[in-house]
Amino acid sequence: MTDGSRHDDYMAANERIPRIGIGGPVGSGKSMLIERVVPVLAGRGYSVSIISNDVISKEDADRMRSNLATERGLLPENLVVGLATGGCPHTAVREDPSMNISVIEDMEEKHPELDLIIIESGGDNITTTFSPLLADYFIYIIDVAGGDKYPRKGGLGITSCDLLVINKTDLAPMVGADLEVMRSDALRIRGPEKPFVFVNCMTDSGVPEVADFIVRNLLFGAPPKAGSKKAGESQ
Amino acid sequence: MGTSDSGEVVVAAGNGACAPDDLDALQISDSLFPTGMFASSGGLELMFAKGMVTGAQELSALCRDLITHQVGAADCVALANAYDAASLKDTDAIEEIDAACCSAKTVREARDAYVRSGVQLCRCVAEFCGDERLARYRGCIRDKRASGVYPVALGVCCSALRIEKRRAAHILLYGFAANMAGAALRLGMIQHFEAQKMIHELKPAMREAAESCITRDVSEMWQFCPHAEVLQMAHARADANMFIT
Repeated sequence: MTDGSRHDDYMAANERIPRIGIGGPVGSGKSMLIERVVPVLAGRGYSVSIISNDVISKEDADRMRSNLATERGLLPENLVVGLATGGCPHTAVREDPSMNISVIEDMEEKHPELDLIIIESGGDNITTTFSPLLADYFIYIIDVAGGDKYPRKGGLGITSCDLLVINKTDLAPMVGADLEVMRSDALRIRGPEKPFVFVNCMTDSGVPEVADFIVRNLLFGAPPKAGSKKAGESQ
Repeated sequence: MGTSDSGEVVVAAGNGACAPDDLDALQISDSLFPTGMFASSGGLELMFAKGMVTGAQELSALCRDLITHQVGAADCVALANAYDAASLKDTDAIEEIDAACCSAKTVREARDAYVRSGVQLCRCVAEFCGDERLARYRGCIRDKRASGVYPVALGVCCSALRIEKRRAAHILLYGFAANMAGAALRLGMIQHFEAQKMIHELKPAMREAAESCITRDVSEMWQFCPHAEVLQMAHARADANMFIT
């Protein structure tokens, strides 16, 4: 079976556009990761929408809309949506994802051309997970500034995610974090089958690998619905 | 099918239908039940930020006013009429009640949130209750003949689950009070004992609203809380919000 036919089978079974959930603590770089990954995906021709669950403001959604849609034209402005979570970011993506699902279903109905939908959780703790009804693929992001102990502390976010991203590797020397410790702890806690990636969003180091994981493990290698024309070619 | 002494439509459980059970009422009134209501504060966030509502007493007074002038007078009436129409399998009437209830929600964000909650309520109940009335209403929503606005959706779901109409109204009213108390807790306005005390003290207002509203015709539905609505509109335009409304 080819990757493309696996994707078609998946879509037929789920009748929905593939969804990625991105969770992590406050300040770990969830929005920045999205801002870096979306251009890579758009460059490969994929059409993406973003739902940003904000804990206290619309700033993240507004910034992503401005940077990715208004300034760079990588997606229409109305495909970046901010959602308030009533101070309960984990509830909004785990116990009661009703509001997210409702917004996404509206999006799916109006934009069937989308290849994937990214759902960013509000900043939360290491027990964050996504309801399987909400997200098909779960990326959990931590940053080295939280200390190199983070991976070995475990927590459902770190242990259960499909891809662990360890961000801000450039800060490691400044905060005394040992990346080798984080690497070995991530391997030990998650097991050899569950991947993790070191990322530095300031230089895009590791960002293409994150995009590769998404295309390979969420989209099963399916080409963009609109063909493989790179974003911006028609402009 | 028949009517009770109070004039309430009573439907006998049919083959394959859900059996009446207090546990059904407990389940759909539980905060764990996924309707997304926890993300709304009914404008309380802005009222608190502006110093208009700062403690348990003021919050209790606000809730009492809203129960009297909005949740009871409009939402409960819509719920009760939807309940009866669903029990009679009168889809046209449900569509009319849905339209009336939805149009009474003058604040766009509150209306959208109410619609989303109602749609998700129906969807979740349909997962464990294969009732024809609920299926028909979901069909109306799918075909854009109804919005799925929460009070109507709750009325239809309670009818489908054979939850008594008065209890359905209590679920709506209690849910409102608990949601406001929950929002106040998360805003740091009150503490957890005050929240429970306030909900308890609101029970007479809830009972009175339920009693007076569940027998009214949909044409008698009304609401009047312009200040709260204007504040909800202002909330939607604020830069930093925890809550949808």
